[in-house]
Amino acid sequence: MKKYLVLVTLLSVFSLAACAGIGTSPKGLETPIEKASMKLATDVKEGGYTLIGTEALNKMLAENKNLILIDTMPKEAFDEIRIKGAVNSPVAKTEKEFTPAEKQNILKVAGTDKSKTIVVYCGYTSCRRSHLGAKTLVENGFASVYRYPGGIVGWKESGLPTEGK
Amino acid sequence: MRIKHRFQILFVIIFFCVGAFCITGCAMKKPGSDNTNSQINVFNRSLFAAADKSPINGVSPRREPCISGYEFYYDDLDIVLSFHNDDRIWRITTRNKKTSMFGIALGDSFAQAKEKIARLGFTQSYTPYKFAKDWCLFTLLVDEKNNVFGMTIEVLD
Repeated sequence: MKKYLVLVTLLSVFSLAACAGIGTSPKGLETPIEKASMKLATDVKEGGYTLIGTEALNKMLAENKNLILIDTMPKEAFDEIRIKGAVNSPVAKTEKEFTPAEKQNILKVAGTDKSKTIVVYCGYTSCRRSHLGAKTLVENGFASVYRYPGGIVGWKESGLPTEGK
Repeated sequence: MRIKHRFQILFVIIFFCVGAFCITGCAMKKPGSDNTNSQINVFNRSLFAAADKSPINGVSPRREPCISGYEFYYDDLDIVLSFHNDDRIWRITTRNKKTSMFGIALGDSFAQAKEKIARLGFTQSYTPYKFAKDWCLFTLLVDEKNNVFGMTIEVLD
């Protein structure tokens, strides 16, 4: 009887442990992941840019020396940590806070060659600074605009090279 | 002997109470934060205050993630409160005309606002629209007519 009890207890513990890992992330939290995914899908449709993942961006950076990588985080965050080779052009978190000066600045940073490949990123998937930045570039005629949704958090989590203080 | 023992117990209790107070309250504040908060007029919300989910003027917050914690968006009031994972306010953003910071109101010209903030000892930092003083970073959101349409006050790490 005692043996059965131990067996049942062990099976229950293993089942619970297995359940905890089900979902998009091993840590769970499916609800915020779904929320961020929905927003991302809507933003991509509205923004007219292309998404790029961590591996593809890493490959692109290695192959294409000519691309412009724009970090849209605030200057103080950019100084702290950024993807190696990125330039800073801070963008607000929401449309309502996006200032004309920030719009002008990202266009200035992108330069005059509108055929150049530009990758825009910010903090993490649900952060919308990169969306606003990428959308502005598309609206102003830039033909090859990518948004890297994982942002600095995804890049760092993947153990890829960063620079900063 | 018994009196001495009681004093020792009392000392330990006082030591823990002071320690707990410092950890939960005063240690989170910065020097001069009360003075800074007294100049922030955003629906009685202040830096370092604990997270309060209660509605402001009947508007409930919408919670969104942030790189170092989370944020409460009060969409109908045009204000955003940012929290670190310690559940304390570290940034306040407003675009509400009923609010003000450091005597600067929405609609003031950028030049006026800059003058007011410089008079308080803030210096331009990072970008032409950001001003820092000690642990505090103040940002002006300026429109195409060079008028202030929003402001952000935040605690620098």
